[in-house]
Amino acid sequence: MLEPGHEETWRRLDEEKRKALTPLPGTPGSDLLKRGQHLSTEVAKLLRAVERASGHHRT
Amino acid sequence: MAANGFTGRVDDIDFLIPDDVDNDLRVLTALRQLDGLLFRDNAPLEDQHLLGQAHLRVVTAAGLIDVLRDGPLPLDFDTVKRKAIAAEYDDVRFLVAGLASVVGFKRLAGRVRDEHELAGLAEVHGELPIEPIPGLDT
Repeated sequence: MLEPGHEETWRRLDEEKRKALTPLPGTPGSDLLKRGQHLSTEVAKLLRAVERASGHHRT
Repeated sequence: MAANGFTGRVDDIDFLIPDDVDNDLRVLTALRQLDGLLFRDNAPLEDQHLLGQAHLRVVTAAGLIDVLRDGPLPLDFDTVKRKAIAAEYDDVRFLVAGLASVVGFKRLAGRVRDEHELAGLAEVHGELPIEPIPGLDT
């Protein structure tokens, strides 16, 4: 699928994922915040890991 | 995207895998250890969900994971691996797609949000590396 010609399949998969990852209406703000904080923490861990491995540190 | 310095949107994990049955079986074992279930119906993972397949979407304890079979050059596994960024945490070493590969994936996808993310990467890195993709550029 990593070549041109699969646009319709990707469109369907993207739509499926978007629905799955969109919080349900009425989700409490505290839950949304917790989810965002979790993702941010994971991203920060990944960035630190990459920077440690490359010897490059962001300022 | 995040490992390449653009953190504007993070919502899932994509794994790129080579065309290798033994590796597929190891991937399935790892996904089961993460309590992985088939996305579309929460069914337990069976070998045939990945063996011979180009794509597998799984819900796991670590979140949504897309497993993608590699494509033709330059989006084949060996090329992406050769250009990958090495990282390690929790004593686990892993590879993350490097900038040239991420740019290739985004150019191939070609959605509005991919264009936005490519612009974001260009703000971080300057001129982006463009590798010709058969069928897209030639």
